[in-house]
Amino acid sequence: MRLQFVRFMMVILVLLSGCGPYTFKNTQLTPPDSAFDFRLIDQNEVPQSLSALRGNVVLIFFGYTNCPDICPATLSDMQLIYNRLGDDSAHVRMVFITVDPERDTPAKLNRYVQRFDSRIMALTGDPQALQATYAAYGAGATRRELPDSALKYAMDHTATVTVVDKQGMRRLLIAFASDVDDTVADIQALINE
Amino acid sequence: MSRLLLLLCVCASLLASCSTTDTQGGMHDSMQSGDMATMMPMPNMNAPVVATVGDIRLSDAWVRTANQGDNSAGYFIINNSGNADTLIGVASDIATSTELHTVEKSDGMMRMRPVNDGIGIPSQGVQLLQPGAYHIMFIGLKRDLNTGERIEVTLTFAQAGDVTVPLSVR
Repeated sequence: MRLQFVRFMMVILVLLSGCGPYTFKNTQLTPPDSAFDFRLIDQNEVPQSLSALRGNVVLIFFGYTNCPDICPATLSDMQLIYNRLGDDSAHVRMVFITVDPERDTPAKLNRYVQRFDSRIMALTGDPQALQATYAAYGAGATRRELPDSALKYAMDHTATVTVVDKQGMRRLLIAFASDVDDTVADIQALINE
Repeated sequence: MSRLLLLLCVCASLLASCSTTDTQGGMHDSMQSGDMATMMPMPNMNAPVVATVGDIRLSDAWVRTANQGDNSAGYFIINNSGNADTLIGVASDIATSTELHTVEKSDGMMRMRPVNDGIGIPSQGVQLLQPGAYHIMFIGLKRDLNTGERIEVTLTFAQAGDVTVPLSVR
């Protein structure tokens, strides 16, 4: 009887151990800080700000439409995340901010994101507003001339995705090529907070 | 014995309040099999060989969907059962310019660069072209690349020579 009881308790402990507070899979910002309230223009030339998206979980990432490798890989992941979230996607906004405003007009941004997912918001803006946004999110975009390439120049940039919670706090950083299912789970946890 | 029953009830109610595992189960249920095709790809080492030249075998060859006038990138796995070789050139008629590129990662920055001295392929080894690393860069696409289509590129290896490879658009 006593041995049976001990065995029973062990089973219960194992079951309970899987049920603590949620542990985020991506890098957590501790403590979370207030996310910069960008003021930019979207692909339909409509002014957008982070504060207007309050109440949603917002994923912010930087890139440019001439970028053939890193940016499409991230955009394709964003589309996949939206699909996996199902109905929860209504509480999530994906924001792609250009680091190449010289070439990326709203019309070009629109054509580019349409190929992946029209729910993705693509933003540009005046140089000052963009610079302030890059600085706040550590996007560190640098133009690099490429005389050996037909591309002429590339924009060096960070490929990290910043996750802002429903209260406008920066909570998570997603590294390039992170696991999509991990990110979906993290986003669902933030939606359910 | 009644103590055991009481304990059981307490544990059951504790477990009932624990929903994280349920949420995750639901998430996987709602996953559509069609999604897998667009998933951030780990190269599929078991993909069928789509082209061979000398000791070189190419597999899992694909190019990213993109608009006419924009750029795209192509990827594949190179398997080499012979001596060391180098991928020194690439040509295609779907873009104004086709180049070998790589991405250098430092201090959290991603820096895309043309590869000038070719992509080395170790003897009896494997070289991967994949997102965030070595890739074929198509600059100025002459037409839209739509998912499910197929394009061709010609690769030039220093030792093995030229080979035409079909890339599927994903």
